[in-house]
Amino acid sequence: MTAPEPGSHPALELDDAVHQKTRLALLTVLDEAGRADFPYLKRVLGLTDGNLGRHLDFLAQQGLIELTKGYEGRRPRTWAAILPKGREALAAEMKLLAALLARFNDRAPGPPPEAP
Amino acid sequence: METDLTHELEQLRARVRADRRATSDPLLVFGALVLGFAVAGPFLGGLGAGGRHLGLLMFWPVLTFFALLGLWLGSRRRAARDGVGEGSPSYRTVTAGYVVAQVVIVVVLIPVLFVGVFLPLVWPAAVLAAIGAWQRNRTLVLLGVVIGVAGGLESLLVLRLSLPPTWAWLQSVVYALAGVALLTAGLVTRRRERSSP
Repeated sequence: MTAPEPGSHPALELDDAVHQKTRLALLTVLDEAGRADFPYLKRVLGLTDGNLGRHLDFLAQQGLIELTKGYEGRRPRTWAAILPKGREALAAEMKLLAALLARFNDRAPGPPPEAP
Repeated sequence: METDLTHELEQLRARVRADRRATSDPLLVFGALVLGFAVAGPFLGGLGAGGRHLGLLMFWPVLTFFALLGLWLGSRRRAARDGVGEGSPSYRTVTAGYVVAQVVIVVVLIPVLFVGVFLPLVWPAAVLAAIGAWQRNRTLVLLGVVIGVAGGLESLLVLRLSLPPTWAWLQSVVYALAGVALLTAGLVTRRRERSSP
């Protein structure tokens, strides 16, 4: 993807890897918790195994989170932990969203005039 | 729309924070400590109480360490049981930071230890506010600042008025009220956290 020109519309600077709603929610949960296991993420976000696994793998491939697979007794347990790059990407995304919101509010028309 | 999205993300963050019991745990632990200080304080004596003053001097520095250790172990247990992590920074980091700060205080800033003697509510309030600031938890920061400022003013007023030792019981009542206030805030918050969707 080519980098947007400086001063361009904030929407052009959104990172597709992070901006997707499920991945943004995943990063938000992990930013707050530091790490979380697969069943917790599934429960809190209401996702299916396949959907969650796909998004987690994508974020891990981008270097935003780290997946650790291990065993607790005989039960397999997968943990996802946010990495510094993930925190930076989330912070940048939130900043862009705030900029978009400010831009929208600036241009939004005022309340309709009251009927006489 | 972006407004809805940011609002949803804030709610999601609040839910995870509730699952971590990030606000109620420290309020309950430090509320119990303040209440404990209200009870134990008179027995530990003042600085003129011979060898007993060491207990007063060490009360907050030592018990704060054990409180943070307890919070760390509790959050680790919750992570293993519920699958939600310890937060960032975790209480492990907070405890390590506290230990480093204590070493620095003992080596170069010994007068800071007397905060726990002369302004006893300021110590736990400062720790609560520091945890809140580090973990970006506004409620903890706010409660820490309120308890710290109120407790600090109360102690300064007592020192300024030079009240006789017989009035010490009144201070214990004030500390007990502060402890009960923190415990109540902790219990109310815990109830909200449990009913979080």
